Amino acid sequence: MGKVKSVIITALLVAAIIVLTLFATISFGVSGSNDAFMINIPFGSELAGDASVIFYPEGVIAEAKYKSDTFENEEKLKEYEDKYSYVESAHVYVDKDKLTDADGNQSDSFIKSIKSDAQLLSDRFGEKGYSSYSVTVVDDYLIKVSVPSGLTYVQSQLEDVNLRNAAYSEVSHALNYISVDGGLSIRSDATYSKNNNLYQELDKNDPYTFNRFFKGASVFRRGGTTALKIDLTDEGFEEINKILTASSDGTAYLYAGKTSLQLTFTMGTALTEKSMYFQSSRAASEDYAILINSIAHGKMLANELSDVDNENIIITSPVAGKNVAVAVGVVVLVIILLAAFLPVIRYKKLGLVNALMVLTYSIALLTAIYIIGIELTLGGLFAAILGLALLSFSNFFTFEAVRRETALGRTIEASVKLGYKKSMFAILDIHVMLIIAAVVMTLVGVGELSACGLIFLIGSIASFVLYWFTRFMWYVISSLAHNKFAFCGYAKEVEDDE
Amino acid sequence: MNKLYSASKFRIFAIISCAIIVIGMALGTVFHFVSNGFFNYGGEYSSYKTITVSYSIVELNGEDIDIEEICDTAIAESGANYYSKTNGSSFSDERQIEYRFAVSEDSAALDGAVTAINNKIAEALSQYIGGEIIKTHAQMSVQTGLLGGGFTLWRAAVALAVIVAVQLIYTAIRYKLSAAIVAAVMDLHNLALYAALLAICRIPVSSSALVYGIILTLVTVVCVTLLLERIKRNAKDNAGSIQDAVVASAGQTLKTNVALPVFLAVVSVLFFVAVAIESLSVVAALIPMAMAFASFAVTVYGNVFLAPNVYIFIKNIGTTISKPSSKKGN
Repeated sequence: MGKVKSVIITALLVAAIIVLTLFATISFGVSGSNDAFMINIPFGSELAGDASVIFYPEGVIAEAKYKSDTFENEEKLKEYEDKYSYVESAHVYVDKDKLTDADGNQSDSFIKSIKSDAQLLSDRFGEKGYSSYSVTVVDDYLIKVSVPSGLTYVQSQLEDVNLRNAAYSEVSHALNYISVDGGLSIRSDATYSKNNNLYQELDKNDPYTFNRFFKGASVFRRGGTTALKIDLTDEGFEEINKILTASSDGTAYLYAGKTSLQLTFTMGTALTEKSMYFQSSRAASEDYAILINSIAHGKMLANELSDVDNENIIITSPVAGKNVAVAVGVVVLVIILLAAFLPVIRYKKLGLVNALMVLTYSIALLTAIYIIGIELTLGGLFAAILGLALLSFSNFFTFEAVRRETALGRTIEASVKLGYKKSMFAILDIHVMLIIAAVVMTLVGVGELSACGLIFLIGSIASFVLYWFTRFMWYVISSLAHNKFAFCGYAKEVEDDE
Repeated sequence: MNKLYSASKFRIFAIISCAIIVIGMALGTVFHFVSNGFFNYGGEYSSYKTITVSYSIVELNGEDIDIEEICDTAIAESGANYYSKTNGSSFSDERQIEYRFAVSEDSAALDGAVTAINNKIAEALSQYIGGEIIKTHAQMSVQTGLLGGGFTLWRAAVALAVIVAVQLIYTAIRYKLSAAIVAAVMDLHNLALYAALLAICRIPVSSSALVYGIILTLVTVVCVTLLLERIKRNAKDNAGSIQDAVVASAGQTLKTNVALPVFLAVVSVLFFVAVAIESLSVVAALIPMAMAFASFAVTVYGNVFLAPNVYIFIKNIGTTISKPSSKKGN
């Protein structure tokens, strides 16, 4: 390769890395830009903290609410004293008739129902694909759900309440709608009332007749548009069309229990296919799909749970402190720089070729994580570094194979050819197996394991591609060198002069 | 190097591994009866007790009252030990501090701590005009967990089983069945040894333990594949015995087998130092680091000492089986 070509290719690659790194790390005040992307990656609970809420089943009220309701209100106090008894261990008041047995203890049926509700909520939140989440029964009476707040680094540093509330809108929506109970219905008003149900022909043996009209729901994505897709059964298609064509004007609302799902129909417009589409954000569509699938398959909560008020959601800082993301970020940067520049000691300028590949890997992975929207956790960062280790290992393994060939007195060109040939199958086998393992982790694992698998899958593929790109750049950059042995840090075998 | 790899050495390493695994299983089973779990499950997967302190912003006469410090002191005086502490706030800016304790922590001590917290905060507020209007409330509760965790663990176990099966099939196609058996044996051995170490050391098992289990398997895949490829090449290039080829291959892959786990161990140390630096919690760093070291120690031991010996052992079995048939052929 000519020296001019070599310089141009190398300069282009270095410039691309520098420009991408700048875009990734520095915020440009360009109109329409979305700030720096690196700090817009959502973090898992270890790095950004949790959002949690406590659900009170119907018949259980918090001590604080009991006191505020009855404060300076003798009539209310009398009513509450007759209806509720205090449970000291849980600091709650419970409905004597509904939730306690003849001896005043917690009834067995309530204990069972609260556990089954917690399990159902756990299943529903599990489907959301959070990197971590927990559903616990608190003091045998309440259910607590904690999910990652999903904030980016910038959002996690917001102090203003209004800005913070906007940042929490996704997690607030999930906590609100995934925990809804009750059957599905179509109603004529945005406010719940017993009388505004548009489907009155309920099966006497099945109080949730309407549920069987729904086959399931999923998130529909095409060309940047996201929608909720609800599939209807044949019976559902007929019945819902009857409802929608019964009146020619107005709006109908889809409900789950007493909660309007913010999904509306225009009256007078018949459905043309057995699938309905409602445009909404990806996160909101996921929440509705999880809820509708659960209800349509007969998995409903036994207790009516308290509504999630934004005021009740508690956002916690990461266990390791508010600035843990910065500390971990510094460590990752140090590891990348060490992986990039430490090999220069052994491989001289060939080490710089490896450094280019390490920096390209880092930028590529960061971009992929941002574009796909993977929630970044410590495990995920570790998976990314494992991919980096794989790339470095592949390169060093081959560099050593080439060194062995040069030790036999071969030229650099011949040694590179033979070194790559001899190490090719080992590198190929390792990458193929690791890529399959990453696919298995992504598809079979749940939560953090699945996210780690996806990051490792991208990392393994990037490692294999960059392994071959290393050979190309080695060829390109070494064209500039007079002494190719010195370029690679290899010792040249001295030929005997006879 | 030569002395480390032979059929007799295989027996010694196999006995060491089996002994550790059996001790781990025995201890895990005993602890299962006395300590509620084969493993010492971490906070994510087990029930726990909490003290939750709720309060509104405390700023009186331009001075801050450090509620967190008051709570920390009261809990320390009660003799209870929390394993994690988180600060939170609601959308309405009500603040909350949650202390988590092991479920075995004495409830009476925690109740005592709650009373002490309420009294100390009331006492601190009483020194300021307007202090009585600030509402604070501390309470203890028991949270029953293992609802999400069981599912996660089960799916991780399935993922690991599939990875081992895939490696078995791929290695059988690319190399030989005997090599595939070595790969599968090493995956299972390393995982079993890691699980045994977790059970013996009672390291709290959280999602980090799963991540290290997976990393251990992936590193094993890399190291064993490399060893098998070297053995295949050495056996082809040199006409020596299988044992010679294995010994040469073990020597050639030694650097990788040690360097890769050591690099990952160093990364783990850096990560957990970063995690612990702000909270100044040694426990926050020590537990995951203990998991990391258990995982990487097993990887080095298994891949450096046992894998070549397993290969020799399996090849010897193959030779023993094939000898009578070759005599018949003659």
